[in-house]
Amino acid sequence: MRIINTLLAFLSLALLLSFWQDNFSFYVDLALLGLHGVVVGVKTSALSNVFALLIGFSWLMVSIASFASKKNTHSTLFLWLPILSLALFLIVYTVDYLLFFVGWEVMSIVSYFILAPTLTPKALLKYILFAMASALALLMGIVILYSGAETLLYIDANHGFTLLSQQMKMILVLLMLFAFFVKIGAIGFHYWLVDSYAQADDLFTTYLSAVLSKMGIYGLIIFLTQVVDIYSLDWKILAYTIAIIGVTTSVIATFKAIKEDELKRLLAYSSIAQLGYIVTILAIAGGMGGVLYHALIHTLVKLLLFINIASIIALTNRSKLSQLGGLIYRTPHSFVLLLIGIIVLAGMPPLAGFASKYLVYTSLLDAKMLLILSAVMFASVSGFLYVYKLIYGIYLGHPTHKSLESVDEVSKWYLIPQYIIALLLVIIGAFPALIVPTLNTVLVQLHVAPIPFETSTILESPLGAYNGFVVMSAFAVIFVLVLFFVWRVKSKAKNVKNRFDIAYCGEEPTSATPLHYGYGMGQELQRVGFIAIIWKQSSASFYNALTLMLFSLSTRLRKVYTGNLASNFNWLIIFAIFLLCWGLE
Amino acid sequence: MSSIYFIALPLLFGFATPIFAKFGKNGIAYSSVLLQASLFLLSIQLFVTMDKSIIEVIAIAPPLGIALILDNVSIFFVMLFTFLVLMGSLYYLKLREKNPYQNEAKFFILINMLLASAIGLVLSSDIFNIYVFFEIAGISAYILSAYRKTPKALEAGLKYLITGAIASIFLVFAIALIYLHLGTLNLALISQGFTALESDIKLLISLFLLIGFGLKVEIFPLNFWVTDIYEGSDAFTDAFFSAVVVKAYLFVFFHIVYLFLPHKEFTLFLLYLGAVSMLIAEIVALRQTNLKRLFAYSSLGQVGLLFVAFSMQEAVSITAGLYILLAHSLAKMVIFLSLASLFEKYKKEDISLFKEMNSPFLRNIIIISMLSLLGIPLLAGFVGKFLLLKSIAFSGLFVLLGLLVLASLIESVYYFKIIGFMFSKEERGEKFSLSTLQRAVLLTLTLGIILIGIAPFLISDFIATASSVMIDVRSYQNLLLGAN
Repeated sequence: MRIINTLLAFLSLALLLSFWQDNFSFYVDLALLGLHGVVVGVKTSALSNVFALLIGFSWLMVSIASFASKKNTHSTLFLWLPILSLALFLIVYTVDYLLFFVGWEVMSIVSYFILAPTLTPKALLKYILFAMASALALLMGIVILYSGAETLLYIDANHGFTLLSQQMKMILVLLMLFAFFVKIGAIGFHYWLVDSYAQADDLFTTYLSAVLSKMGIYGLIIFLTQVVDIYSLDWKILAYTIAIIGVTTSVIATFKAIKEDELKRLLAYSSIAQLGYIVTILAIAGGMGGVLYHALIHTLVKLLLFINIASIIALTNRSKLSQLGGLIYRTPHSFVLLLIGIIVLAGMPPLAGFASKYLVYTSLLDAKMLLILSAVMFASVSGFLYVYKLIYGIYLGHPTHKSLESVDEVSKWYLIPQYIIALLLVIIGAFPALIVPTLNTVLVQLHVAPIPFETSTILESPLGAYNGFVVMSAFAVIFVLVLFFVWRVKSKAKNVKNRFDIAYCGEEPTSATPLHYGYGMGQELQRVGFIAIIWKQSSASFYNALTLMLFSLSTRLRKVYTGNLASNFNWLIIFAIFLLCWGLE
Repeated sequence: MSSIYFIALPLLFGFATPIFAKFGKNGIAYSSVLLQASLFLLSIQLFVTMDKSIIEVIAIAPPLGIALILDNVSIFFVMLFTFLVLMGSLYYLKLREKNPYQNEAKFFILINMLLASAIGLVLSSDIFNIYVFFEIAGISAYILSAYRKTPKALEAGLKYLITGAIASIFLVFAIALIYLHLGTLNLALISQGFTALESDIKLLISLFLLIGFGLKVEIFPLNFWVTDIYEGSDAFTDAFFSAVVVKAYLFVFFHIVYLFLPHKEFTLFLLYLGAVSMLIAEIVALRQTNLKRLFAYSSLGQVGLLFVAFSMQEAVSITAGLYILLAHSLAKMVIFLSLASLFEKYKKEDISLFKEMNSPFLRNIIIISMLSLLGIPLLAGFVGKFLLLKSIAFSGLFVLLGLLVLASLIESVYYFKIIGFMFSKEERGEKFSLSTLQRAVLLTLTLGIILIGIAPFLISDFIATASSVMIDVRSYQNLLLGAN
């Protein structure tokens, strides 16, 4: 099963790369269905190719990593993964909203069946209800747009949009934003996301974070640039609102991540925060380059991190930071890979994460949105805390249990995809403009200004440039020097056999005496007022109240159906009198 | 004259049962299935050989006598009903080995009566015959719902009888008024003369018709009796109530609305009535734990949706309505038939049955049917739902659109609650597998759902013509009057 799956992934990626330049299109007229003049179809374009590349690549990486576990561990996943990927390809390649909706629904439902065996009933219901709400909002939006444009194609949708009344435009925009924000997990709509990520099959979480959330971004790009024309003056307030929602998402999710003890929940919040940056600059004219760049880097880094975490969970059977620690000696490869991952995630030079953050910052600066810029920087810097917590909790410090002292390095099937991704991230770090020509073809397609490009080592922006190769070389030299000194010091040190007993004086640490530093890291931020507020608040109370309200309404309405025939006929009489009065009018 | 067979043969079946009983224990059962299969084949043959939209007009002793019209839209219903009843009967062939009805000959007679009257309702084009079939369908349904003679079944039967009787009274008053003022019972003649009537009389007739049929088509607030009936009756008979009987009443009701009452205001009223009906049914269904009641509420919701579709009075929305109707009939047939087997096996009718259920086949087909009811793309339910929402948006009724979308969202809450139960990690009950015949029946229905979903264009021509015929009042009148 998994061999077929891997082959399919490889095949789709190979097909994609070999036909990268070719144009292909296929249209169907829906007159047969009674929808006269409605054409649906698929077409390759620069934008869809880039997103398809992300899908194909992630699919392949996840498939390779799956060889590490026992044969039937992910059987449900592999039954559905090809279908899911097909739906995603449909989403990115279609040129109309009908097929987009079909892909969107199939994506949601297929993900449901993948999630079903592992999630708790409550988390599962939460996931699907948000997915259904998103899909229905999308459907309603599409139908409204359709009523204006009388066609479902993206290219005609802008004209149709202008035909709608101001009020309908607003409703349409809200519906579509809701649909995509749910998938992205923008703050307030992320209620389903963290539980689903945390409880899903570890490899599927990788796919969810790397690819499925990007579909929301793709939908937003299409809707906001092709249909609404968000950068025009009419929609300035909307654009600003979206930017604020994005940055709020980033700030809140970053602090939620700092508090988390569970690995996958931490990364889920981190995912929300990163997508928040993307949403922020999506609303800014000139930010599209950063959107694509950051989406690309985020996909790669989340693949790397989630596969790393999956390997650690598979190795130790522990999924909490407070239960891990000191694995650096046992799993050095994983440590180095995670280190690369968190450097990228934090957006620090010299790796690829800096390039994308650089574009994010410069586009905000260029748009003179200083308040939002400072909020983004604040979130980004605060993000250092959770990425440090991640690497410290797993690999550094002391082990929290004897069993951690006796594990071996993780399976090579986990390491292969991670090394591939890490290599890509390093290369992009050294040659940050390497992917700019490809991104520029997309930007040209979207009618926005391309990123200036001269050589692949220098990433240019309106406000200046930075040479990735030089930075990388400088860092490499410093790194080698540091390594040399460490080696000198280390050679004099004595290798201790049993670190566990030394750390805990022969005692067994219990959950009541969590000596591992990773356990409480970041908790001191409790004293900062607004962080304490973020930590205390949750959207759960809102949704619980909503559910309660609906259920009490249900109980009340149930009383209409008393089952007592005599009293029920009162309804008939009331209805008849109502009709009579209404008719006499 | 072939359309007569669809009504006459199932009715005559009752008189022939003593003969069929001579062929052994299974004689009646097999002959009933044979009859239904031949009727289905006959309808297929009529459909295939039809060249124009009109297939047959029969008028006996006009203008007061019997008139039957078999056109594009009625052949759709005839095919659907015969197919569904055939599938149900085939399913029952195995069901009866474990849990047969007492006095089976009577049961088969009733099922065939139900089929005959449902088809009769669709074909009749005079209001008196409609009344006759209305009553026959009612009587066979009352007895069927009380057939098990358990306290709940008897309660259901009695309630059904009383509500049915009240519905008939209203209908008969309406017919009497029509005859008094227009001197005819022929639908075409009534529709010609109706506009000239005094407005008070028109109002009274409309009111009586709406209440008489409203009780039968299960529209809010006249649907208070429905869930009790579904709960009391067997799941097997519920399949017919939900998939066949209601659909026949719906068709007749809207046929009459198109013919006499196509006022804009009245239509708008029906539209919102349908939407409210759907919304209320879905909200109430949220907390149901009894499966039969739950699916009864879901049926009420779908009927509300159909009400909206047919009330729009546009060819596109009627097309949508026919797609939804087809998808709903297939899905509800699958669900109720599976429930009939599951109830019999696990001896519980509670929602937790799905936690205990241990049958991948049944799980998968029930999930597919439910997703189709929710209108998920690539399944039959989506086509109709999309077309309906589209035509609502094109009419500018955005509030209605919002109501329907909200109702669909609430609907998904309890469907996915059930599907979640099927994936529950609790310990499963005994393994359960159906016989090959039953599997084949359910698989046929489910494949129908998938096929219509993936390739709706296979039947889109037929359904589009059917809907244009249904809305085209003028040619219906000409057709009927020409026959006179």
